[in-house]
Amino acid sequence: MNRWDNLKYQRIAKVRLKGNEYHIEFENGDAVDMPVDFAIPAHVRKFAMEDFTFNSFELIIPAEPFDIEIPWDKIRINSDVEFSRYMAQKAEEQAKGVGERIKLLREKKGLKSLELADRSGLTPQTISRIENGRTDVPYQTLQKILVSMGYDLSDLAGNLDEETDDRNMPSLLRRLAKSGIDAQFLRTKIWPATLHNALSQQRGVLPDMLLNEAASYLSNIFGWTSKEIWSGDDLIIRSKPAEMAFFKRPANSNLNQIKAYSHYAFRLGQLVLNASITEKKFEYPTNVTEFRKFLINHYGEINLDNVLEYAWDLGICVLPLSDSGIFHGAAWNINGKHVIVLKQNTQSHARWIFDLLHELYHVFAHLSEKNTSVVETEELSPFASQDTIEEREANSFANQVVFDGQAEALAQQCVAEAGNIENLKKTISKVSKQTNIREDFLSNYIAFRLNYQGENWWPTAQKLQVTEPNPFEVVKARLENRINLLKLNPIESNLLTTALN
Amino acid sequence: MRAIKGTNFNVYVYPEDHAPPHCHIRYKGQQAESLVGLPLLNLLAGPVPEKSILKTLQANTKRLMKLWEQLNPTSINQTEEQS
Repeated sequence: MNRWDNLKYQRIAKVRLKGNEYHIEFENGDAVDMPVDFAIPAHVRKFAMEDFTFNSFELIIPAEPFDIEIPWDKIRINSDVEFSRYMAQKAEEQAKGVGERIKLLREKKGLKSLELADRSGLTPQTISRIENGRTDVPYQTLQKILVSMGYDLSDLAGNLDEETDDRNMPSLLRRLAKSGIDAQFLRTKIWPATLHNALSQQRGVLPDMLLNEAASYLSNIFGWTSKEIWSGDDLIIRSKPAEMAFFKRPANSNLNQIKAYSHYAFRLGQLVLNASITEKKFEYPTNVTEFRKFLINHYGEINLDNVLEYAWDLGICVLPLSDSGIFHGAAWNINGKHVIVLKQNTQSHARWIFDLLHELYHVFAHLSEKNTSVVETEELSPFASQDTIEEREANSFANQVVFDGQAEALAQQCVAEAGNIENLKKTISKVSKQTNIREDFLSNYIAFRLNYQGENWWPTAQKLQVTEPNPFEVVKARLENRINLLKLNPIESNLLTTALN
Repeated sequence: MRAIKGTNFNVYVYPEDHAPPHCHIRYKGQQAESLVGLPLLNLLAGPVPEKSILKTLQANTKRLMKLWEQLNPTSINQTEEQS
């Protein structure tokens, strides 16, 4: 509550004339000296400043042809800087509000600005200026615009009988974009193609059935009620998964976008856990050596299939995503159950395996806790400048599993034996055969290492990568074997299927 | 200047008043005034008016806006671009 909402702030207790000033006392004890010149408008010639009267909310000075009435807020605005600033801000908001409301009504009618200009007899520039919040628009101009769309001035205040319910797609899209959810993401990941096509083919007012369906997908992911979705207010992402455990906020990134995508990925993770038909078969390993030994003895060589199989057998679900953007993976503990999200744009199995092992470490690090969250906002690499101890440990875990604790020694051996960068590829293949460590792992590690030293060896390293079959498809196939979509409702099933396709 | 006389409230619009365009709702009894923006009927100061009062304002939006402009001519740019 602001102090100007208070009766005593508003009410005038006493007024007296003191030279050329009115000395006005308010009930809250404030006193204001208002020059007579300020009180009397310039065009008023005949007035009797001594014969003033006042009531609780105004000072009245007899004048011709009409008495001058000065309300409490006009007196206050010249003496209370905060109140004056507040009103200036409200004036700006109000003008913007009028513009937004006109735009909304125009869009509800499916009209373009040019069409509205044509209908109302105004220039497109005038329409644009008003929609952008011009402050000094005569009511006749507003009336002209509104009447040309079949509305009236009173429609600017909306429907007072209903809760604010703006079932309006352009407004929803704008508010979603503000929350980090852009139209392309909606089209490709949230709304199924059939719904999106139906929405885009409609012009003007959209049928309620379509709007309800569109809203139900958003509700399912972001937990917003239908009332919130259509309220016209900002859509806030109340995201536990995004709030917890950001290791780093990447420079120049849109925090809303990370939050929105993290929440989306988290919801998909929940759906995978709900749809999972897999049981935990083995106890969690207690250290990296045990993990590596069990992996090799039970599943065979270290490849994507085997690490995935082991993860699932530990009761850890693994979901692949392929969207671009700043989210690079996550490990969530949701009510004691674990889900890993992998998001890689490369086809390199070695990179996918590294990321999976890295996230597995995060799972193992938080086994004794419930509802923990790790969201990777940077691409993972063994040499990235990670901010936290846990990130460094996760990298170290992945390297130890892959290289059996010899990553650095093997890298140095390769560099020493090669003598120069041109021979590196051949040497890596040789060392790989001698040590039984895959050459894609070795070349990746060395490429990251050289990159760290300012050398770009990626084009050669890429030639040594295993890229077939497509790793996304490998992770997806494993997931599809371990879940039953019938355990989800149709909206949830659609969301997961869309994410995987 | 009183613009609307209700049963337990009156609505006032003042000349040479400050921005944004607004009216005052003065209630009978010991209650602070509500300052309500025109034409959106957004609350600027004071208590939230009852819906029935807002409906009265909404029904009189055109009259209130017209009165505001008559009493506050300098707040409005009377030149508009015709196409």
